[in-house]
Amino acid sequence: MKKLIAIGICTASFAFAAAFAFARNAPAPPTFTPSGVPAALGAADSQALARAGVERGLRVLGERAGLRFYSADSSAGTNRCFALGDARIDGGLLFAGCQSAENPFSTSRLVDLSPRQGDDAADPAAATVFVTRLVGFAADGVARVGIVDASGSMIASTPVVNNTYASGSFAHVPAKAIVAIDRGGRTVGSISLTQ
Amino acid sequence: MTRKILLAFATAVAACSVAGPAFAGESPYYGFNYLSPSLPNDKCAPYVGRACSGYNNWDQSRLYKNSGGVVRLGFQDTSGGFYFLDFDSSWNGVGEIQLTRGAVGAPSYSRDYCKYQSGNSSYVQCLTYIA
Repeated sequence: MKKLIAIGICTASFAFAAAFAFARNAPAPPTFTPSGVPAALGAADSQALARAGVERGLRVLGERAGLRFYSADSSAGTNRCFALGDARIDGGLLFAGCQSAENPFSTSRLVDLSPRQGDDAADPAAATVFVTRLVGFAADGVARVGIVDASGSMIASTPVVNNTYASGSFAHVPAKAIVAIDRGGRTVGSISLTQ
Repeated sequence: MTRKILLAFATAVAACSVAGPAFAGESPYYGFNYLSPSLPNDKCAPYVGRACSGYNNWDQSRLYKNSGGVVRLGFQDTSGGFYFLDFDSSWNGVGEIQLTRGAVGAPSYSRDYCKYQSGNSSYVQCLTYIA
């Protein structure tokens, strides 16, 4: 009986130690902590944001390449609503949407809103996609966002500033994926554009 | 008589130029219903798994996405070019996704479309919007 108890204690100890070690080695979930200032929009844009699901906490994160970046809170949680505006005076909203995901950055570390063009072929495997510029929001620690072509080469990239990115326009080169790159040059997230 | 006809014509032209588009606001063109590899099969011939509006000077392409995998939302020009973004399950069930022509570089005269892209079938409503 004593031997059985000793074996049980040993087994439980090993299981606890293994679980603890795994938890220590598991990567921390990505965070999103940009600086920003409270924003107030006109009636039409406020109404549009409400329809998108924005409840509170609208903030401007900055302006880059002619775009104004907003984040806000939805009724479901914080930092889950994203909007883009035209940075020109009286420029309106260009995009608005909210996510239900617990962490919008958990899959690819990006909320990517890069405009895409293509033939949109019925067979997704045969479709050609062009990314005309890079635009979006990135998790903390993402330093650059890039476009990878079919050969696996990075054909263009743009820096991330205050968790946002916006490039100029690119030539029409078929793209395979959009990737998030950390300060060490490692790819830490990826969005496939083809199947 | 000729003067009266000219006056009536000028009045009609002026009225049309002031009135702007005949329709303004939001209008659904599909759903709520499922987008899947086979649905819809009659909402944007010859495409299957895709719904589209008629051609107009639409300002936005809008989407309510309740469930499912990846849905493609955007605009199609008259030459067969597509301008779009993809929305996966993380966008399910909150509010209306609003995408302007300017955000994806689509031309003024185009049609809105939404389509099944990948993963599980999505339960959606797709809408046009003109200011």
